[in-house]
Amino acid sequence: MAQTLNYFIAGYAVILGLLAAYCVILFLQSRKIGRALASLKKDSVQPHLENAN
Amino acid sequence: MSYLSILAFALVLFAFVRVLFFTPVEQTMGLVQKVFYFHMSAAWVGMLAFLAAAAFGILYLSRKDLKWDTLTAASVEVGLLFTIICILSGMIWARPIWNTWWTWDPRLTTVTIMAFTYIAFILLRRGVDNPARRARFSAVYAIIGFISVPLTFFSARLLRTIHPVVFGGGETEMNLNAQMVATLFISLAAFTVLYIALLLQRARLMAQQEELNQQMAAVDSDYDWGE
Repeated sequence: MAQTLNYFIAGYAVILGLLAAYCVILFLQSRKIGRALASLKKDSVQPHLENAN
Repeated sequence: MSYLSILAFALVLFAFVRVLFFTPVEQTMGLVQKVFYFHMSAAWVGMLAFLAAAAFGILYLSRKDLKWDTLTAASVEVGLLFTIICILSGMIWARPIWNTWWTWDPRLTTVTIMAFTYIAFILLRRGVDNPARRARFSAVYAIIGFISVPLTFFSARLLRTIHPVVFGGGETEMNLNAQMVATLFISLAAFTVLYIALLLQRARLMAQQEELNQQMAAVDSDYDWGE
């Protein structure tokens, strides 16, 4: 039987590593968009409050 | 995190544990043969994603709803991720088995053409600003680009190739025992659920990004620039 343990480890490191990296990118992007939307919402509410005062 | 994402994670973990501990080691190739279970699953999901992208493209052209355009773009992106995983894991398998990282075999050539077709989709889509034009372009591209998928799928069956075929390959067909076949189908199911979970997450993010862009454009147009 061929000794191919290193290639087996490398194969799964690439597969699982790329999947994990993509999930992290999606998570970070989701957080960034969420913050930007919340900040825009806050900015649009603020002038109304200032007008009311 | 949605229930589907948790299910996808659990299924991939289960498939991985099964590959590691409950699937026999192939006698000739050794441990590297076990890369094949996730390699083939990635290849299957990549092709499924491009098929779905073409279907979403047809739905956009018939209904003119931008929701289908978002799904087209998300499906292409996720499909490309799985295709790249397939190509890289295949190269790692090929090194000890074929004694080379890469050869211009028909299957490897057609899968590379397929990957570049969809890389071009993502790059060209970014160049179109108008949402309706971008959606129309993406839909037509996804439908025409799908030609590369059957070309890749049948290349190992119809042309002279050294790439193994799992089912219906004649001389080049792989010999898998019952445990190996069970692991393969579990991996295929796990990757299919993972694809759906990633597709929905990516489509939701794209829709949120579009909403953010529209709100920012509205804020910019409302703002008094002191002119």
